[in-house]
Amino acid sequence: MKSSHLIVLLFVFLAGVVALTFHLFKNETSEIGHLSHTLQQTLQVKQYDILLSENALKAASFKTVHFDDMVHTVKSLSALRKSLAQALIEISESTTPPLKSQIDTINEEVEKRVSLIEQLKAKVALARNSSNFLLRTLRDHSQTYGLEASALALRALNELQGYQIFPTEERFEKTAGILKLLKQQSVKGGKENNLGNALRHMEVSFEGTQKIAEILKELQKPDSQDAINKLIKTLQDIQTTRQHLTEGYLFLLSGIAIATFIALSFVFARWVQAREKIHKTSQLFQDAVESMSEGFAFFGPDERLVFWNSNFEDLYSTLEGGLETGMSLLDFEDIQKDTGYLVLREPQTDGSSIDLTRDGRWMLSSNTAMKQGGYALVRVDLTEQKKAQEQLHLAATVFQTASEAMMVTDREDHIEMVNPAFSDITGYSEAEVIGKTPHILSSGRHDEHYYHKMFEELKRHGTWQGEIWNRRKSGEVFPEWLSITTIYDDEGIAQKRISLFTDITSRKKSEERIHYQANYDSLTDLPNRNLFKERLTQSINAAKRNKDTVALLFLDLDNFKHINDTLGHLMGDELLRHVADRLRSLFSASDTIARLSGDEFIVIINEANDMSALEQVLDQILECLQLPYLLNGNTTYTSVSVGATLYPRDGTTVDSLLQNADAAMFKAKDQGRNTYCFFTPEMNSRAKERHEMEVALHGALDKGHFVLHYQPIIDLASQTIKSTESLVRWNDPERGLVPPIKFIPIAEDTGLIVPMGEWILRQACHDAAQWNIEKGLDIGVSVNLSSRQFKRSDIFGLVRETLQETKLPVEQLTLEITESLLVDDDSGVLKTLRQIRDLGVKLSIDDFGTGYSSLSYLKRFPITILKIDQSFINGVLHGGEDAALTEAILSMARSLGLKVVAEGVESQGQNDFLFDRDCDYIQGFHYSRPVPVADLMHAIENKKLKAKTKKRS
Amino acid sequence: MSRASLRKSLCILGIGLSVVLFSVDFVCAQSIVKGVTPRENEPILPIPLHHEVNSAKAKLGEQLFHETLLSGDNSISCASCHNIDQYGVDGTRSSVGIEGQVGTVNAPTVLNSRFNFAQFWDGRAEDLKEQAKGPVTNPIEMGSVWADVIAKLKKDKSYVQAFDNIYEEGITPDTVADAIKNYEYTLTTVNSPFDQYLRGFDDAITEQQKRGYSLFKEYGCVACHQGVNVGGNMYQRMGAFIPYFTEKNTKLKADLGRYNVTKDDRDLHVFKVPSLRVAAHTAPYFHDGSVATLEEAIDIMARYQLGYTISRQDNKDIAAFIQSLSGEIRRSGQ
Repeated sequence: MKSSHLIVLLFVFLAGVVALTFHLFKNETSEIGHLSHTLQQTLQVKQYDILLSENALKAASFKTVHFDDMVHTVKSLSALRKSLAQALIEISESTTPPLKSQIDTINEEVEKRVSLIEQLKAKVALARNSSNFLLRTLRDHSQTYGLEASALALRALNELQGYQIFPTEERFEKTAGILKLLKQQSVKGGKENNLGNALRHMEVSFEGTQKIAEILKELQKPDSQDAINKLIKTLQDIQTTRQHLTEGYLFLLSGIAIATFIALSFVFARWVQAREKIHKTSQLFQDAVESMSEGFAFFGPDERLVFWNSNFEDLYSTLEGGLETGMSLLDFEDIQKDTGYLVLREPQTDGSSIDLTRDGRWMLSSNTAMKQGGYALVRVDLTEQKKAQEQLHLAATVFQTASEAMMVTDREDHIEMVNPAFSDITGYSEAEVIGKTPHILSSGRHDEHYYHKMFEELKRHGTWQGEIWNRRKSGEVFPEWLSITTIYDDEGIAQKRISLFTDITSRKKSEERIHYQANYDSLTDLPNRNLFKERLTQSINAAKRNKDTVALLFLDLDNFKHINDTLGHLMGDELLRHVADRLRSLFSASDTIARLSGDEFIVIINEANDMSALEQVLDQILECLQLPYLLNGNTTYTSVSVGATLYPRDGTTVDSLLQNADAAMFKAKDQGRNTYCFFTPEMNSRAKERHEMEVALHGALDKGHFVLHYQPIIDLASQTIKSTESLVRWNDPERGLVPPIKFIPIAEDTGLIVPMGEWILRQACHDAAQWNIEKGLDIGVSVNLSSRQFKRSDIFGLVRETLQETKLPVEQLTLEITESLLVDDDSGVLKTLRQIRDLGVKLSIDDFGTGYSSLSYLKRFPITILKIDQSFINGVLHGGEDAALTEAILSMARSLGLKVVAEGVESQGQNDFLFDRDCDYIQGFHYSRPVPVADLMHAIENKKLKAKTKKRS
Repeated sequence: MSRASLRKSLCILGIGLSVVLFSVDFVCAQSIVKGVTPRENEPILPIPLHHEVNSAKAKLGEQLFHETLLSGDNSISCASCHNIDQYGVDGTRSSVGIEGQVGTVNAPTVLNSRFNFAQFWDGRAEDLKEQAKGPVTNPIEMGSVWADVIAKLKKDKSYVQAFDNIYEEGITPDTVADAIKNYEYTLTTVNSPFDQYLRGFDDAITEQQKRGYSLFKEYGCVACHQGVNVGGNMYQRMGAFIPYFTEKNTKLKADLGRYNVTKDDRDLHVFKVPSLRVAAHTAPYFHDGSVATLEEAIDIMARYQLGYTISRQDNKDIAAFIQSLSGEIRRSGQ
């Protein structure tokens, strides 16, 4: 074959290789695009599958009032699965297991879940049906069951609801037990009775709840997620292999191109040898080499530059000294390295290399030695390919990860492409919007004129920016900042539009949240004092215009403090939430229910023109709030005292109405609680009294109006005074001796308890130090600490200082705390108590047995003494529960190594009872009432009370 | 546009905007005073006032819905049993198909059917498109063969034209069903008194209806009849509390309910909970149309789903509430 023919053939081949490279390159991008799209879809399936679990959990905990959201999730999931299956068909790849069987597994698992969801819905509906009905039927019919059965039914309902919220083994047993008891009652009551029906409902509800727990367990199995994750893993693997494969192909093709050039070089070498003879071929070769898109140069057998084409010249145009015929190959390479022309050289396995030049050019370089001597240099310019590849990669990353929504539309305004942020913001998946027009997002808030102007602007300038309201898939209208850019083709005709937008709802939302925090109570979600005042002002204004009456109801829970103290603050908070919920259920949206503070709620009723209707509402409130509360498994009762006042009859300003309602509420408390009271003018005096007491109390400390009384604590065995409890009294010049029950709550409310407690501690230690040191009496003193005081000040520091100041022997001081301080299980409290204990001070628990009496905290906290509440001691002689409990406490304390003080001992009989059971100490009127320190000393001197004296050294 | 006139128009736009903003503020302030805040967290949701509708398909679907060519003997159409002017039903116990054959189940309404999570009493069709194909080939309903139906429709040039304009594939069973589905999508009843009440207009329903709603919740009816369609989004057993079917009174295959679809014993006598949206107007009731009045239906529900005999007054109140659920028959998008 002639060299010229061979050269032509080689060129045709080369052109083929180049074309193939481009084809491959184009295919690569589209296939990888499809793959990543499919991957996105799979991730969406995963998300919806997770959402389904969340929906199920919510429904199973009876937190969903309707199933529409759940149905929507199932429908979306099924649509997504279908389009995923379709997308998978287009991926031809052999994987184990095949993609088809993987999606089949996913479908199978998800369908299993969907059928479980259907069962769940039916069971939840049945259980709820019974619960709703039970509330009604117990309310209407429980009195017909008989007293015992009625109470039992109520308890059963409580247990059942507890089990529904927390389906634990323990609750199951408890509920099953009580239902059994109820069944026995029902059988006694005969066949067709109301109780039987209620019982059946409880059983249905109970069974349903068990079934729900089972279904939920089944639903929470990770099988579907596993299957989806497996597919995700497979798709990612395919993506990686596919990328590697295309890269490999590209590399192979480059190799082939180089090989072709080497072949060309051989032909060329031959041609150089015989160039005189075949001048024509030489011309042909030169033309051919010149027309190549690659750079080519030939160094002769003496390694001197003989020939190069213009592309080669271009590639080295900025090389110092330029290219010269006759320059040596060694110089050519050295100049490149020495002058910094060559920035980077990545050697390839076949001996070629990829070079980066100072100009930012990438090229594939290969220097091939010829058989006949000399070198053929081939340079393939890769700069554009590299750039395109990087840009493509960059653009794809930006598009996929941007937090701004992006949407590309074609010249007919059909959506071509959207990014994940678009779906996040609008709620539409890619599949749902492709091919549609952006009109589907339109909120309807802007008229045609608005859009017309926008398009005019786009036509004229190609861009548009502004704030616009659009609509999400959910129907929600939202504000966005939108900027649109037009892309033109070479002829200047608009080809595509790119819309970029950000959701500015969150900015608006955070404004709303700030508004919410300023106006709502975070515990109950009810309006707070702030918003309440605003609403009341509005109500008053509206009522003024329409000549309406507005009713203001002030609600205060009756035994909230006790619940807080005995069950702990968490339970107290829970109770407040329940109360808020019940109140919400009683009133319509046009009325306002607010929480003022603590356990105080207030209700504004607009258009309260009908007095009898208002009284009915008040009765409803009382009735509703006194039904039992189930707090974390404990059944608790509370009731409410309500003060009512009317605009304009009783007052016309927010403040006066609030004051009136408060006063009326206090009256209701006085009348025995769990009742309501309308405001009358004379009540103002009562409110005034409390206010005056507050003022007087503030002055009392400075004026020295507080005094301490001491009640002896007797050692039963030796009949001597072991210690004394210090008790504060307020000796007001106007009011006389005010009982603690009247002023301690006020002191606690106003924070005065802190300085007051400090004074009590100092005074008690001072008095005790005197009788210890000066009189040599071996008698201790105990001081009560309020929980509030404990939390608001540095008790440890105070105790240490006081002991130092007064020189009271440490072992003579006992601090009395209540159980409520311990139930919160606060590590700070524990630490302080340990510090106090380490000083040598004793700690005792006051009113033991009335609250959340638990052995566990007795073990955890450094307690030395228990004080049995006097309510138990009162009843010990009547036998029964009180006696049994007292005995139990005594034996428990003994086993824990704790001393016991019995409080409120009033009679010889009680004294003997306790003596027989080895109680350590006694406190009560039987020995002495609380007395001033002088009287106490007097009684000891007169031997009315026996005391031990210290042996003086 | 000169600079001066640009400034002028900006100024006008500004004034216009502030007027709009002010009036929005004003409306908000009004609504707080008047108390038209929508009720939230209710188990029933109002029917949306607007839907996205493909009006070309819907128009073609409407024609097909009334097309007797779909039946074997060209005698009946979808509309024969689902009369839009009669709240989407025909008022009979079971509908009459071709050649006077009587079906076994009561034809449910097509109104608001787009909100049902599945179609047919036993939920055997996943959506309206799938459903629309069912009756065409059912021998005792329309009794056709698809090939014949397509051939008959193709003879009508206007159909060929209309389909070609919308569907690439022309007239096929799929496109016929799709067009009918799109028509049925337009059939919703909006703005019912109860929906207005949910949207915050307290006076939209009567005191009796309010009482009825609260009884509906208290008795637990709402546990199943909830959501936008007041039902239609779950399955439940007929006779959940006291068995409604005994071996003796189970006469029809249709009485087996969803069991016919799943063959799962747990689905015996389980049916799709029907929507109560226009129930006040679609007597007779239940899957077999065996109960004549709404009041009787309520009694039966109380008896078999609750084991309770409901009082006359409570029954009437609940019936009044159900009345309030029916809205205007309006084709959304029009």
